[in-house]
Amino acid sequence: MSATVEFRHVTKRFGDILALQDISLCLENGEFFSVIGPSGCGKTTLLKLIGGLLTPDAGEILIDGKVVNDIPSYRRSSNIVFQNYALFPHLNVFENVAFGLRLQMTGATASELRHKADKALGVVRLEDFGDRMPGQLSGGQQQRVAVARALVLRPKVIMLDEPLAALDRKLRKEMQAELRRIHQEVGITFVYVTHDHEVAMSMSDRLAVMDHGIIEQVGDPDTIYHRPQTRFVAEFMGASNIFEGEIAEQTDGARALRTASGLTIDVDIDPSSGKTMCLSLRPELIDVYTPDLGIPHQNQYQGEIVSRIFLGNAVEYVVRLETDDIILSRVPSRQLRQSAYKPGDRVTAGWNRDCCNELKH
Amino acid sequence: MTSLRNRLLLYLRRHERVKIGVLLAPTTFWVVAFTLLPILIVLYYSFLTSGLWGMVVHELTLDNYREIIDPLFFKLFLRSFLLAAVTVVLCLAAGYPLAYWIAFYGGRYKPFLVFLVILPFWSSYLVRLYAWMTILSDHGIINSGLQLIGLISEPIPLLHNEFAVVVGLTYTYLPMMTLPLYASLERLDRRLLDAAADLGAAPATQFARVTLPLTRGGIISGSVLVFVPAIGEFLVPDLLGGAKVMMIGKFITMKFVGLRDWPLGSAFSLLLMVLVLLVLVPYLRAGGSPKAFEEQL
Amino acid sequence: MNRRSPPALTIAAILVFCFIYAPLMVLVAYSLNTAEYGVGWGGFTLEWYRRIFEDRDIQRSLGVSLLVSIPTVLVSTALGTVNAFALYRFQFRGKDFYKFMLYIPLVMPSVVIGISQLLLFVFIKKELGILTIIFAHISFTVPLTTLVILGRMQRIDRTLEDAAMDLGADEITTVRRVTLPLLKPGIYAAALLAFPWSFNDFVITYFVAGVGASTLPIRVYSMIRLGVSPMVNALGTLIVLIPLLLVVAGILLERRKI
Repeated sequence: MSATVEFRHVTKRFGDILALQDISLCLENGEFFSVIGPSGCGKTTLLKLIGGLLTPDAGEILIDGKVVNDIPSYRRSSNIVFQNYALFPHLNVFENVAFGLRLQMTGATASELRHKADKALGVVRLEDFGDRMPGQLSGGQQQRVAVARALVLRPKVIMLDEPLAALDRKLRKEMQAELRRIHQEVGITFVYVTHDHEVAMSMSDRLAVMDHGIIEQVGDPDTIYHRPQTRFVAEFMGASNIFEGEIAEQTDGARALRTASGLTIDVDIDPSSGKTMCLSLRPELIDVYTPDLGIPHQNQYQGEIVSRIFLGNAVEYVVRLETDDIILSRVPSRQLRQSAYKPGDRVTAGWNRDCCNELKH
Repeated sequence: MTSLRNRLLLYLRRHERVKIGVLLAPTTFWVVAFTLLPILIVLYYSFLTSGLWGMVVHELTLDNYREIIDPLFFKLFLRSFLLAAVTVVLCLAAGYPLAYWIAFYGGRYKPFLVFLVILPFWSSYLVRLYAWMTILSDHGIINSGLQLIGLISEPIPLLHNEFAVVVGLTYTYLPMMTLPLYASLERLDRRLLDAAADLGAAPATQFARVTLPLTRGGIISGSVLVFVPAIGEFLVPDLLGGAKVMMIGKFITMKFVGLRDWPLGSAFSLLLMVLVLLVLVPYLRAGGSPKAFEEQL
Repeated sequence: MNRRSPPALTIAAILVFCFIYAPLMVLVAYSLNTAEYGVGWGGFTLEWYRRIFEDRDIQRSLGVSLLVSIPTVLVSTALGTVNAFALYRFQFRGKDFYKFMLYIPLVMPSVVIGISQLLLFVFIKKELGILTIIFAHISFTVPLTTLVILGRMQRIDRTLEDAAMDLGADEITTVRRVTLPLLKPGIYAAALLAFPWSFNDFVITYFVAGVGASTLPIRVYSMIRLGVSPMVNALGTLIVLIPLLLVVAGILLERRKI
C-alpha cells in the first residue's frame, strides 16, 4: 500500500481565520477514508485543497508522490462529488458524464466516449438515463450521475462532500450501501466528508476527526469509537461521560482515578504520565439496575434517575450519583417496560474497570 | 499555442488584480470617458463666458452663477420642484392601490399584471406623450366627447398648462413608483396582518399600523425614483406644457439648443445635478436600488 | 387568493390600468381612422400606414436608428457581460464606488447626460453624427446590460464552475462551456432590453445628433413640432409595438428557469 494523497504540514487561512492548521495526513491507495467533524471544522477546506480549488498557504500536498501545490484543479487526478451535486443544468446526463472525458481524451471518437460514459453510468445503474436533463432526475439519481461523472475519469482519488445530506433517510441508507459497493468495484481512493459519525463509521476503512482546523485523531472506526484520544473526539463520537482527577493507588495494587467530587473509579490503564488523568466512558457500557440485584461490577455507585429518554432500541438514563456527578447510561430495551425506571428511582450504576478509556487531554 | 495559453492562465491565477483590471477596463474606460469626464467639462464650461451668437469665450468667470441667484431662476427651480413633488404624490396615490391590488389579490396572474405595468415603459415615451397631446387637445377625445354629450360648449383648456404637465409626468413615471411599492408589499408577511387582526386591529388600523410602516422602504424608493427624473424632465413640459410651463430641464435645453448659451446652460445643469445627487447619494448609500424594475426581471 | 378584493380597490386598480393603456389605445385607434380629430369614427383606413412606407425621410431615419441601435446593443451587451462577470466574481476596494459611478447614467436626468456628452464631443472636436450618437447610447445602455446580466449571474451556482474545473476544464474552457451557456438567457434579455432603450431614446440623442443624423424619434419629434398629422399616429403605433414585441421576447427568455 502506498499513499495516494499526502498532506505535509499544510496550513490554510481565510483572512484572519485559520481554516487548517499544520495538517499532516496520509491516505492509502484504494481506501475509503472519511473526514468528520462539526461544520466549520475545516473538512470541506481539506477536500478543496486536495481538489485544487484552493491552494495551501504553507506546507505541501502530494498526490501519487508528486507535489501538486502549483497544479491547477483541472490538471489533478482527483475529482469531487459536490454537496449539491453541481450537475450542469444545460447538459443532459450523458453530456454531464462526458464533460470531463471530452477534455481528458482529446481526439477520442464519439463511440469511444459513448462507451466509456455508458460504462460509468452502468456502474451507478443509470444506463438508460443518458438523455434526461438533470432537472428531471430525483435527488438520488442526481447523486449517482455526479458519482459517475467523477468515476469516468478514473481519478486517483474521488472526494465526496456530504453527498447524502440532501437525501431523505431511506434513500440515504440505500446510497450508503451503493457508494460502498461502487468503491469496492472501482478500487479508487474515496475521501468522504461528513458531520455524521455513524455514516462515516459504517462505511470507512479509516477516518479522521477534525475540529477547529486540526485533526484530532486518525484511525479505523473501532479505534476511534472505543479509544478516542481526546475529549473532543470522545464527545463527538457520543461518549459523553468524562471524568477528570488524580491517580490513586488502590490497596490491591490496581490503579484508580479520584475526582474532585470524591468519586473513585477503578481503571485498567497504565497512566501515561503525571499525576492526573482524564477518562471517557461510553454510555452503553454503563449498566443501571436496582440496588438489590447485586451484579458484580468493579465500579458501582448509588444514585437517582434524573430523566429517561426512550430511543426505541435503547433507553437512555441520566443518573445523578451521590457525589452529584451526572452520568449518562444507555441500556438496550429488550421487552416492553422491562427495566423501565422512572425519574426519582434509586438505582445503582455500574461498569467494569476495563470499560474506561484514557484521554490524552 | 497551448503552452502560451497555459502560461497566460498561470500568470492570471497568480495575479488576480490583473484579471480584475482586464475585465473592468473597457467599461471603466467607457464610463469615465463618456460620463465622468463630460461632467467635468460641464463644470469647466459653467465658468466660461458666453459670447455673441452662441460663441464661447474661454475666459473664466463667475457670471453664470451670479445669474442663477436671480429670483426669477429661483422661481424656476421652485416650480420644477413643486411639479415633481405633485407628481410623486399623484404617483403614490395611483401606484399604491394598484400595487396593493396586484400584490394581495393578483393570485397567479401577479407576474403578468406586473409585466403589464412595466410594459409601456419600454416603448417610446415620445410617442406616448404625443398620444396624450391628442387626447388633451381642444379637438381631443375628452373635449369633443364632453361637447358631444353637451356638458360643455367650448373646449376646456387641458393642454399646454401645468395640469397637462403633471398628467404627463405622472403617466411617464408611474411604473417607477408602482414596482418598488409592489416589491415591498409582496415581501410583507401576511401573517403579520393576521396577527394584527387577531390582536383586535380593524382593517384601517391594520393598514395604518402594519402595512404602511412596513412598506415605507418601497414608498421611499418609489418617491426617489419618480422625483429624480421628474425634476429634470424636458420632453413632458416641452410637449404638454407648451410655452407657458417652464421647468429646469426644458430651460437648460432651450439655453443649449435654441439660444446656444452653453456656459449658463452648463451652470444650470450642474445645479440640477447637485440637486439630484443630494437626493440620490443618501438614498443609494442606504442601499436603495437605482432601478425600479431590476428585481422584476 | 383567500380573500376578495374590496370593490373600491378593484375599481381603482382597473382605472389606473386604463390610465396606463389609454394613450396606446387612442394612438392605435386614430392610426386606423380616417377622421383626424374628435371622437367620431370616420371609417377604417390603412392610408396613414401606406404613407409611412412611401416616406423617404422616415425610411432614412429608420436606417439611422438601426445603424445606431444595433452596434450599441452589440457593444453594450458585450461590455455588460464582461463587467457583470468582474463585479460578481471579484471583491476589490472601491467596488461600491465603482457601482455608484456605473449607476450615474441610469439615474441622472437625461438632459444632464445629453449636455455633458455634447460638450465632450465639442471639447474633443469630434463632429456630431452617427458615431457620437452610438458613443452616447453605449454609455447609458452599459449600466442597464450590466445590471441585467449581473442579476442573472447571481442566480448561477458557483460550484458549477468549480465542478467544471475539477473535471478538467481550465478557466477559459469553463467560461466557454459552462458560464456563458448558463448566462445566455441573461445576455439575450439584456440585449433585447437595451435595444428599445437605445432605439427610443430621444433626449440624449437630441443633443448629440448634429444636423445630418436624425434618428426615428428625432424625426417623430420634428413631425410633432410641425403640426399634428395622423401619420404620426400610425408611425407611433409601429414604433411602440415593434420594440414591445422584442421586450416581451426578452422578458420571456430571462424568466426561463436555469
